[in-house]
Amino acid sequence: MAVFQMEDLAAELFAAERALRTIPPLTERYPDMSMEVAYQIQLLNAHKKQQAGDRVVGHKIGLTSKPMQRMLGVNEPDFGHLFASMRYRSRDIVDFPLIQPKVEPELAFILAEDLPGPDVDADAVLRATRSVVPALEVIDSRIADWKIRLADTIADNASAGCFVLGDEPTPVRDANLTTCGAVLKVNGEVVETGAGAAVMGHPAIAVAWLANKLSSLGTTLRAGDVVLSGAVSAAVPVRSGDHVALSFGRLGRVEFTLAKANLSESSWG
Amino acid sequence: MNLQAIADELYRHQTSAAELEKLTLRYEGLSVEDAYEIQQLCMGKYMNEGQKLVGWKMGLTSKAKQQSVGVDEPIFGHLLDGMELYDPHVSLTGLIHPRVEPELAFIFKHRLEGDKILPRDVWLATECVVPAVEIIDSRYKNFSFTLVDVVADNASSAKFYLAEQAYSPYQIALDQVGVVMRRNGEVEQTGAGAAVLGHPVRSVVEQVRMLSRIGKAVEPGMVVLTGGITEAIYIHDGDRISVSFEGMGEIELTVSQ
Repeated sequence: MAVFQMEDLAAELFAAERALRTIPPLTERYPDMSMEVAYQIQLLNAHKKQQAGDRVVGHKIGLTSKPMQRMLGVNEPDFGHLFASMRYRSRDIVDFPLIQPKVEPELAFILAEDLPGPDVDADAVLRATRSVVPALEVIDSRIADWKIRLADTIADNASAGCFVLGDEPTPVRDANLTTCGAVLKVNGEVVETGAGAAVMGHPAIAVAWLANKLSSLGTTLRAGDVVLSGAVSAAVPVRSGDHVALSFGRLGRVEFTLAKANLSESSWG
Repeated sequence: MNLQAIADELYRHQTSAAELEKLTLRYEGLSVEDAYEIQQLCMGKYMNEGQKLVGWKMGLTSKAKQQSVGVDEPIFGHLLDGMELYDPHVSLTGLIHPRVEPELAFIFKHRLEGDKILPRDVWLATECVVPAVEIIDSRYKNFSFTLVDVVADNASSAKFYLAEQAYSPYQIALDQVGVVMRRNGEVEQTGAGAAVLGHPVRSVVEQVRMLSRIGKAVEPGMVVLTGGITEAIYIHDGDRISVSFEGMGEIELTVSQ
């Protein structure tokens, strides 16, 4: 794909995000779009946001479960950029502009040291991690009705929306990251449960994948970065006004309320 | 309608591992009460042959499963001593299309009865809590059924295994217990205790309340299997299924012909 075509597609996604409307899947027009091209489009928009004054605070990992990978016909995860403007704290009213949001329970890793690839493994991740904290990721898609294929979601910043971090991080050496149970409630009702091992067998394996993937693209995870390691259950659609709470047992909890009136209700039936 | 004849038919299919067509396709007007009557008549046949009632099992304890059969309450079935595995090993012989699911089991020291039971009554009557796996096996074609069918078929029970180590019910928050089920080392399902009606103790409450409608109770020494914490997965010859319960150990189940 020519550079100007990638720039056009990036501009379309950027405009859709700003206007809170969806566009048809990019893969309808470009069925053969490669993963590499899709990441190039994602990077073009990441640079645009940085030029506008936003700051990269970390990364999110997506497609970390077998069912999701099977659905999109891949056998590796994907990643997106996290910006300062996307970050909320537990108990916030989340007023981030969203189109068709869903929420996912996750564990966030906060790094104490840089993690340069390419030979990072799960042990190296745990050594470089300061703490883990429960996180709620609000995913969103600029692609109409979430009809995404792999290249669509990668180009669209891995369908990132915003994220909410708990406020009591746990030192990683004290945490059991495989059997730790997660209970997701929307408006007080249990909607999903899961455990850390849903993320590639161990969330640190996903973070190691990210470190190595970034290294192949010429960048590095940095000390202080936040990494959302991947969903431990299926994503759940949410509406404005919903109260969302994630309890991660001994690892603590995180909750938020989705602001009224910040959703274009028309596009999310 | 001859409920005894239907119970006899289900008994034959349960004991010969032969699928059958849904009852609701062949008999009109069967009610849920009829279905529980059929279940009792059918289980009575096993007990006449010398099997012992050792407890009860709850089914359809998650919102998703209730929605899949269009109901808003769980169901229950009988647990007989012949269903209990002595070792964590299951043979496929005698089973049709078995699936396994992780559960928490309660074991009781006191009787629990009545329709006004509360969680605190359950705690007072509970001796211990034990990790468990249940092998379910619907006798209906394609594991497909309506509420009436599955109730008549003893809520799809086939086999169950309780882990060797018991735990105090006060040590661990049972709604928060994480569960990871792996097949041959690969993660297949994860969940947490809250998948069972928000908290497994709620399942025991519902069990006792539903039993009171047919004049039965949870007796001292009995087991209650509270319901699947994750979706059930199919098992095949040679599978090694491991289920880890956060803070409550692990069950390693092997499967053979």
